Amino acid sequence: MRLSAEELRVRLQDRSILDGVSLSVEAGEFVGLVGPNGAGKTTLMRALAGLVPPSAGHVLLDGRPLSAISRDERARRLAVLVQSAGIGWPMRVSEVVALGRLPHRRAFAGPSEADHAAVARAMARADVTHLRERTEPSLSSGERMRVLLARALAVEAEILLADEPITALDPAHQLDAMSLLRGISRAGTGVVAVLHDLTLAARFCDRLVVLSEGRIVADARPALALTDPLLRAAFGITVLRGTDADGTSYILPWHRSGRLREDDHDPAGQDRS
Amino acid sequence: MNAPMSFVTRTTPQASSRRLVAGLVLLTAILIVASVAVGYAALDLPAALGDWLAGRSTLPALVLMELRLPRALLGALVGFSLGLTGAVMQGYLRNPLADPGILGISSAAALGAVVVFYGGLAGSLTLALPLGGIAGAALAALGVNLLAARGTGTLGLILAGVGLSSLAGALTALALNLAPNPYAALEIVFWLMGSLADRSMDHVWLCLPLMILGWILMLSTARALDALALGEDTAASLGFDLVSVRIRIVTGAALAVGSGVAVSGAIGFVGLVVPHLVRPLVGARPGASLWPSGLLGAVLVLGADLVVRLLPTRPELKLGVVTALVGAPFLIALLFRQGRGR
Repeated sequence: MRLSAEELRVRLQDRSILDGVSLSVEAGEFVGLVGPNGAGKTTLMRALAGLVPPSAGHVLLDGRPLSAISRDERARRLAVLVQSAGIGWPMRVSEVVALGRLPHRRAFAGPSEADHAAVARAMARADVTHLRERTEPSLSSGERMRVLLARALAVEAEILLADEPITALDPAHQLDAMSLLRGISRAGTGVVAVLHDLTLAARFCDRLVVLSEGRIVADARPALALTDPLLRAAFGITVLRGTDADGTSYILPWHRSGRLREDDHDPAGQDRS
Repeated sequence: MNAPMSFVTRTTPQASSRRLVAGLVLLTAILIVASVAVGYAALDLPAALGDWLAGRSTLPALVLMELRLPRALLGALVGFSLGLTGAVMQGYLRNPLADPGILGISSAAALGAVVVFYGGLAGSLTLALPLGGIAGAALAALGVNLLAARGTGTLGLILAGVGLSSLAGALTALALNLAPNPYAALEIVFWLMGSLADRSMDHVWLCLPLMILGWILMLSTARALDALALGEDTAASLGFDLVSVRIRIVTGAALAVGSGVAVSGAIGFVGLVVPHLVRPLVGARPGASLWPSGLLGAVLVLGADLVVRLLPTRPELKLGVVTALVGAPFLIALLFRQGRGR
């Protein structure tokens, strides 16, 4: 099982968002997709999920172009957690999570025992079992995010694409969610997550893909990807580096290095290059 | 504690939904019978039915088959169409203020009928008026589908509908403005208010196949509507073809509501209010609210049509006036109560 992008280009409203991106994720791998705001992370995730058609290049699932795979098969094999999704109606949490089973349901059939079991597993993993009878307006944004993560887990797909899955969570639940994502990757799912927290990304991911202005500027193990020059060039920051008592090294964003600011004033700059 | 909890959550939604649908079917049947039994002249129902079954064209048999029955059947059909379309529109657009007319189809159907009226065709052919309405709805559906095909967002669809509604409304006003005499204008205005009086079985046979096709198209989107509760990207990632969903919904709504407006005029508020009443009873899942919304729509229209006939006002109140008079304050109260609950 392998999801890959080859020389992917995406243009939206005459603006180049992705400019020749190639990457892949294998079963059992936890890949963090990082980069500053506006780098194209969400567009890359949507392209990998088949939600936005590339203007050039391909997305391949086990070597077959995504466009050649039926919607139903794609929905069973690729689970997607979109950024800042909401729940449109005051549905019960258990019913929201059960939406993840729709790709597995037969026409005119109710949920099967396997569906109920998958929903229960997903709710337990995302720590929302106790919320099962609650309805949308009473959920906090962190609770909602965990419910939507449970919904994506309930698909039990081979690949999980999660756009900012931990942004609204408190520190304890951020750590839980990162362990959970790493755990499901160890169980054989390929996971790609868009992350803004470089400390957690570096600590939990097997590999980090750094996106800047629509191009991949690094794709390596966290320690090799997040070098000082790259952090300065892509993020405009300098970091503190340290080592935990057990020998794990960590980074901590600490200072603004100022390089990014010129680019911020010229958002269309990449078009002219 | 945990085991019985999970048992309850597994069985209750489907079972209670089925009970709700069964209850509403029973209520609809009772109201159809009541609607047949109530009228301006006393009618010996068993005798009329006996005459009709024996093939005798007696006056009671004619009153039953040509006046009472079409009125009752049209009430149920139009009500089901409005309730179902309201629930589908609110689910699809994720907007609790959406109603069956939001895509401009009702206004266009009304305009189609008014054009026929104005052109003087209504006198020469009994079904000219509804046929004009259906033509208007068909054109509107085509227009909305074409406008929406340029983008995939539901916002574009709403804007297209608002534009179409305004245009159809303006042209209807123009027809009124240019009406040859005040009586013609008055007749148009009365027709626009919506009524089930003096319809025949021809009207039923004209709209029935169109409505059933529209219902099937809309009911086929139930699971997609559930998935759309989490947004368009999530629904697409769950395997739903959103272009197909949109075409089925726009076409289904045009068939059901367009033919409804064509035979009965505009009956407001039913399609807006019904999904709000049904939502708390089915756990707010859009797909689960479709059948109950259709049936409750039939119940409300049949009930309002009974009220119209039982009230001693002369001239008879128009059905659309009654549904709006009851529906509007009711909706305000409902929203007020929900707002306070938050």
